[in-house]
Amino acid sequence: MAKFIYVFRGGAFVEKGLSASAMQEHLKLWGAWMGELAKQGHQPAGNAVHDGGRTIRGKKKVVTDGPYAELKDLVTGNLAVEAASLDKAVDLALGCPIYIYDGSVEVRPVQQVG
Amino acid sequence: MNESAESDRPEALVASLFRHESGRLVAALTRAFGPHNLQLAEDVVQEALETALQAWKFQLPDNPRAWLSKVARNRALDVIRRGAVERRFVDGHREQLASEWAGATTLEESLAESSTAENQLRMMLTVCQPQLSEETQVTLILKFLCGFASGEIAAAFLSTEETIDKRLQRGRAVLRQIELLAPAAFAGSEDARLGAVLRALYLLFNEGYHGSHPSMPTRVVLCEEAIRLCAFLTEGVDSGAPQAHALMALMCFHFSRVPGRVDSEGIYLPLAQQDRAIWDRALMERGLAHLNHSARGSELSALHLEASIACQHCLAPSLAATDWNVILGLYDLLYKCNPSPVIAINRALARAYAGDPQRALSEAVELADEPALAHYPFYWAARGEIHARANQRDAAHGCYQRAATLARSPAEERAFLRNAATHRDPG
Repeated sequence: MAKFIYVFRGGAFVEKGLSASAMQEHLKLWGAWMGELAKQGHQPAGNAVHDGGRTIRGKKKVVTDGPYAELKDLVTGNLAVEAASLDKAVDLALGCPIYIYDGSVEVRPVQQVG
Repeated sequence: MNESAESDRPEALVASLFRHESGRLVAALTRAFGPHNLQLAEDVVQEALETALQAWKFQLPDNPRAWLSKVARNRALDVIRRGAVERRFVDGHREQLASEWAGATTLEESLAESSTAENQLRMMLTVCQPQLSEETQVTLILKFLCGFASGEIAAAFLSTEETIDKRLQRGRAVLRQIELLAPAAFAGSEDARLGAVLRALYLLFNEGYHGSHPSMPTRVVLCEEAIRLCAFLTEGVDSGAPQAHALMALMCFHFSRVPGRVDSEGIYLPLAQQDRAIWDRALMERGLAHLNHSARGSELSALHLEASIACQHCLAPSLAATDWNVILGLYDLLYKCNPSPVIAINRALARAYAGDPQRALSEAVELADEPALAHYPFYWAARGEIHARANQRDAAHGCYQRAATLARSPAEERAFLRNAATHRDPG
């Protein structure tokens, strides 16, 4: 099994004004997807991140407020999973509900050292 | 599946948690900020729910309600600090909320679990302002107490989002003039505010139970919301007003019969053909307890009588074994309370079942020109049944066909046509 990181951008988390029912409905889909990944032994471990924060950039180490991204490109979390191959990891990511609200998932194989 | 396995899983989210939490938190923050700052309370709650959606996608907190309370409290403190809360605080609250420390105390008290029922009761009493129409009051209840969006309310009432938004605008304009949630104490059964809330909840329940939705004979969620909110009245001050218990009993009795109401094709079944074994016994018990509570006062309201009639239907083992004389007597009293043609036709039907179809028929025929019954399909259905009881099969057939032309949903229409076919003379 190889390790992969999913990087989530945008989605329902940056969409403002959703109804309470719509939010709950969406959260249920995430729960179902996560439950399925766990059940199939992919050992998902994720971090949901706040919208805000700071960015430090360059030789001058300039600290600025916020991640400075378009909402659709705003990182909204990441998730580590184990999968047999990149294709399999992509296949699993296709089941994520983030696309319903136009979000994206970047699938990145974790570099193995040693 | 055992309980801990269930709660460990992210998908073990309590049904309607977001909607109900929205109602709980909007009421709590409206208490702290005052109804004139309702929009601000809504914004804080929306932000708290959006934060939860983002934070909970991989894992639910151990106590989602407490988590939300904490986020809402912190957001609310930010808002107070920013000075965004319009300082039109009512006496006593003015100084309290003006200082940040006291603001936190007031918020803490409003958001406390022990204040939950009182906040929502007071919020209901506040949105049922007498100058607003009943439709607007129900719309405000669905929006602020039940956490439904305009589009969802429009779908429930077969209305347009535009109409619902206009009602919300009217309601908000009235609430902007109010600086404190209504007190939870009732002045007694004559209390106009209590009456307004009871009517609004009854309307909400009926929309779910007898509603005119073309594809859904019963919209269970509306009935459930009416019952959930009525509990704030029956469990509130002085264990509730007798009338609130009567309404609760009525709703429990009706709702207990939902499982047998339609057949597998979604067509309404006549009472005679319903499987009484699948009626919800627990709800009936709950209804009986409330009916007992409702008898504490000296008053016999229309709600008491309607609840007693519904109770008789629930208790009867079959249609034939129903005590129709008791029901007829209750309809007589109800008619005295409220002499409406709808009650008159129901009384006539009870009279036919009680064994006097001839007199029932003359009563029913006399009602034919009532304007209130002109487009009421159940008048023709009831009259059809009375004709059938008087062995007038052709007339029964004709009445049911006429009911079918007035039906408000395919489920109703098919039920009436099926009855019409039963009475068609085979020769």
